[in-house]
Amino acid sequence: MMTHQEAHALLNDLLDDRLTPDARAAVAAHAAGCSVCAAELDGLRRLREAAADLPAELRPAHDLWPGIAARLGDPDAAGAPRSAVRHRRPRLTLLAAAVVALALLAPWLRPDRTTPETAALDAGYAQVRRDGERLLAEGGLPPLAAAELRDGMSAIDGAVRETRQALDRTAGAPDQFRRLTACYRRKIDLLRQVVDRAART
Amino acid sequence: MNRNATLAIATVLLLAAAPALAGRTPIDETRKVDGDAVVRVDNLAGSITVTGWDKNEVQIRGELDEKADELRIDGGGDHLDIEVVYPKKKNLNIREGSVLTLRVPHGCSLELQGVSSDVEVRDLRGTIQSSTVSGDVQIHGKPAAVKIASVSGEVTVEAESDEVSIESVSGRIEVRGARRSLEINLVSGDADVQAGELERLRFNAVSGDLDLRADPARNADWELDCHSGELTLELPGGLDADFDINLFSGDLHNDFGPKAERTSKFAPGKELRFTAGKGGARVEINTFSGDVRLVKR
Amino acid sequence: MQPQPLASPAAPPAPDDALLVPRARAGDRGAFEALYRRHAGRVHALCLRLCGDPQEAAGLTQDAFVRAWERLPGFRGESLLLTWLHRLTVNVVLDHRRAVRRRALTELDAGMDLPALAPAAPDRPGARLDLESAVGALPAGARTVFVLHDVEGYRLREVADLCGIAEGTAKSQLHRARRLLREVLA
Repeated sequence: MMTHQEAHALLNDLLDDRLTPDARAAVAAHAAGCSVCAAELDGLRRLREAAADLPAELRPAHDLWPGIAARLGDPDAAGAPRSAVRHRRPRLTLLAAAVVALALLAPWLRPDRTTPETAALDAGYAQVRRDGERLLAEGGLPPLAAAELRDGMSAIDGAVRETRQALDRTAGAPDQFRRLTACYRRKIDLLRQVVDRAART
Repeated sequence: MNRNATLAIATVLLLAAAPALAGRTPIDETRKVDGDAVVRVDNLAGSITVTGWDKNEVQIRGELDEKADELRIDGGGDHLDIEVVYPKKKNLNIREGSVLTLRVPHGCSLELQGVSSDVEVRDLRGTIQSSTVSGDVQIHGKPAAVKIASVSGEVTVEAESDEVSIESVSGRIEVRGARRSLEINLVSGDADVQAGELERLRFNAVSGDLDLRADPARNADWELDCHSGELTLELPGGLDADFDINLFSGDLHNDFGPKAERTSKFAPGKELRFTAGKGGARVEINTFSGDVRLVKR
Repeated sequence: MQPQPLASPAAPPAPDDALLVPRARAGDRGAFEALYRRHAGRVHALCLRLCGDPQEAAGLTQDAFVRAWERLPGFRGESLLLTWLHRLTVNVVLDHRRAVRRRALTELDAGMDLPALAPAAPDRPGARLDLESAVGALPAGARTVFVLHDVEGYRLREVADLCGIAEGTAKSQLHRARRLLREVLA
């Protein structure tokens, strides 16, 4: 069942080829018979073509090379140029090395450690995800709700993956570990809410 | 509660029999209800607009979508159930949906349900609950409590209410006027909140940004958890609060003084526990890669 | 002076990236300058569209090439130089934006709005806004996603990764950008 509002909301996805075959057919069918949607689709298409046609190059108003050359470091220095830019996360690289070093000394600090708490959370997360996937596989959701469920799940997946990796690194810091498990739990709650709500649609 | 004499009479509004006569049927119905009745509306697609008034009556006006079978109205007295009924088949391809415009007693509570329905509610004093997927939701007035579940619509709550709770996946959320208790659960939308004094605040998001201007109550209990979105809290300069802030890789900008310190030599992350003024209110903030800004008003 | 689309002057054929990169990597500034001349238009176009301001774009273009010089040792030809340079430029712009926002917040009085990074209005009175100016006037988040996806052709997943946002957020920014552009260009 595809309402005008739903089809209208999915026009961008149709244009960007992000719809399942069923949804694509439904939206296209609607647009064929709806002047509002047909006009909008046409306008979006023309906008996208215009954007892709913008000139690839835009030369700066004046030559920037002198300013660049001045910042390239000592021209007489041999070998590779030194990096003057502070990288965003140097500490983590050092950190990872430190953790590995410690792991050699203290096996209980080994990365990829699964504690009882994380195991329980992993299982909980897997369960909710399965429910979400099953709901999507059944195909009974309206296309917009399905698209949002998928996007929502992928956003939460990303967050959980990062949290889980971080948990591996904080095994030696109980406070941080505890907080991260709480964060993990809250993500699972969020996903549970999203899936439950989709199920009620 | 005054029980109305005419209870539980199911009324069914039938469309003309021949499907060829499909057109949008106008609606004009009235039912007597108690001043604090619970009104439930189920409209799959279209719009639901509800405004409070002084009469102990529910007035329903609007238009039924061509594809709808009927408008079912059940109950009376302490509750009224209104449902737009569609035939049970797939690929209905509803175009505009049904427009439902209701007047209900000011003291009523509402339970609204829809998929792609816009919702607008004004001037009710009861509890307002709404669950939609993609419509825009607007709540105005002074309801006792507001509970919104949405997926991708824009949610605007401009209501002096003691209890506001909003769940969404990617819609944008705007809250004005909430006080006492506010809860927002969000995956990737943004939230913009200007509230009064909040005792309880729960914010849980993955990548949505939060812009919050509010005052923590003296015994406040605030918990904000955001994975990669940015949290900006504009708080009164002279506030009395205990802060407990944890960032994994995000940055903290703090008008109220101290910087965050590394949690431990062996693990990434920064934390900061400090007290502003005399302390009292409790503000706990956890982010993963999102930045946090505590800004003095 | 407005930035110019790249004309094709009658210049002598220049050595291409395959020859220039190893020399630049070894510290040959002349080779790096040649690389700059080859790719400045592209890098600058990207900076200008992402940030919306010609002066800022010039500074960002310089920052991008400086960073490229520093990171060149790490480039082993696994992609085209331009691809590598392109992604590096996006990161330079986004890093700069984050730093600017932080600084701006400490300098503002409460209640003031952040100044919008809008280009100067077109100087032909009554002229219809063209796409380039309209893009420049978009809010920053929407503009970034639109430029990367619709103008530069990155996939939504890549845009989300570059900007450090969820794909769902990137998608809603994209749709918002398209809607705003169509309203303004109608």
